[in-house]
Amino acid sequence: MQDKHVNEAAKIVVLPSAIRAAYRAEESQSIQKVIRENLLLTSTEPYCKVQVSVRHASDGRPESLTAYMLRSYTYTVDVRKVRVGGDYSFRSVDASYAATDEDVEAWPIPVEPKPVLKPRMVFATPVPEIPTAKAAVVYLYNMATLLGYKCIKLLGANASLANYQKYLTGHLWGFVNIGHGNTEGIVLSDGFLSYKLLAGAPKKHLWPEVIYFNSCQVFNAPLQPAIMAAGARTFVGGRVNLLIGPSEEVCKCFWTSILKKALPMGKSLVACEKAKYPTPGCHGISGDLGRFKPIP
Amino acid sequence: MSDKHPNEDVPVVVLKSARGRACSAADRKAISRVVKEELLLTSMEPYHQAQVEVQLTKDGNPKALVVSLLRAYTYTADRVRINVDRNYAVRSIERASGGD
Repeated sequence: MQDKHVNEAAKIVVLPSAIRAAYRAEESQSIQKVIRENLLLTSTEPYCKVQVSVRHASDGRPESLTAYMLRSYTYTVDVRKVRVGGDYSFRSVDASYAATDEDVEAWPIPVEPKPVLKPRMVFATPVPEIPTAKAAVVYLYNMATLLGYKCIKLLGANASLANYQKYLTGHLWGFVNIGHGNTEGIVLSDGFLSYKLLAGAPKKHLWPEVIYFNSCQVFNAPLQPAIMAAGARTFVGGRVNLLIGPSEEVCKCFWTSILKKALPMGKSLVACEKAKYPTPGCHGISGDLGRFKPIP
Repeated sequence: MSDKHPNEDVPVVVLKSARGRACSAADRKAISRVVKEELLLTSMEPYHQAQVEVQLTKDGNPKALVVSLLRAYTYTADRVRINVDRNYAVRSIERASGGD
């Protein structure tokens, strides 16, 4: 009887890194070999999958591999750091690897959802106790769902830091937040989504999302440039303080115009603000101002 | 007619710390009192809610309260940092908004 190691068939996925969208087949094979020989086949713990993030030195050469090892029988992830040479030759393993500040600020590992289940739009509010905020989210969710988009609605406690990070990095087509904010971030149910967190995201991480933060002052530095630098296709937000009530009407009008009437996004925002808001120039829009569809 | 401050009934929500620790009932009470007395009842701005992140020292004692004050009539969040000692006595208040 053949003595097969429990992790011999474990899948190894090489993730895109901040500076590389993909790795050549030979590089992927070298990375997989290092992980298999030095982590999987030396462990008695059965794993179903290993996701590998490559860290590069400033000159672009590989420096280390961070392996997220997903256990087979529990929802546990073991994290190991493998130091490698420039040609992915094995150097050492840090078995007690603890996340550094840099890692804490990093975005979660992107997991590509199955195409059928992949949500295209997220509508969220951490303050559903504000009737107009909840009503706007429900309106937008229902409208987009009826138009055939797979949507997610996040209300109250579900409008959390973890969910926002998960969905914002999910390469959605649209993301709407209705809630409080300022020039540095937005307030969620369990904390503050700061521009500092967004600034840590790779360049195309938010692509091709049209992100609409119905929040005060968010269309200003440092938050607005951080969102654009992280790859948002279009960003809409408050330049100044936005009134609770009228601002949701602008938001609803905007999405109705671009989804149902297929009007250009830039012109839609101007028209909706003119029609629904007491003061002009309170909202800003940056990035692609054209039609929402086709999705680039 | 009673002269009630507009922020008297504003809920103060104490979030779990970055280490995932929830505060005890006594801590929450002390935190709520500080936020109410130092921020809510001294402000003319009506608020909808106050969210408090508790920052701890390495040995687990409170160091600062980072408060997001959600305004009642606009989607504005005012961020205030209250530096406290281990008994939640106020040391200083920084009112500039911050993303920490």
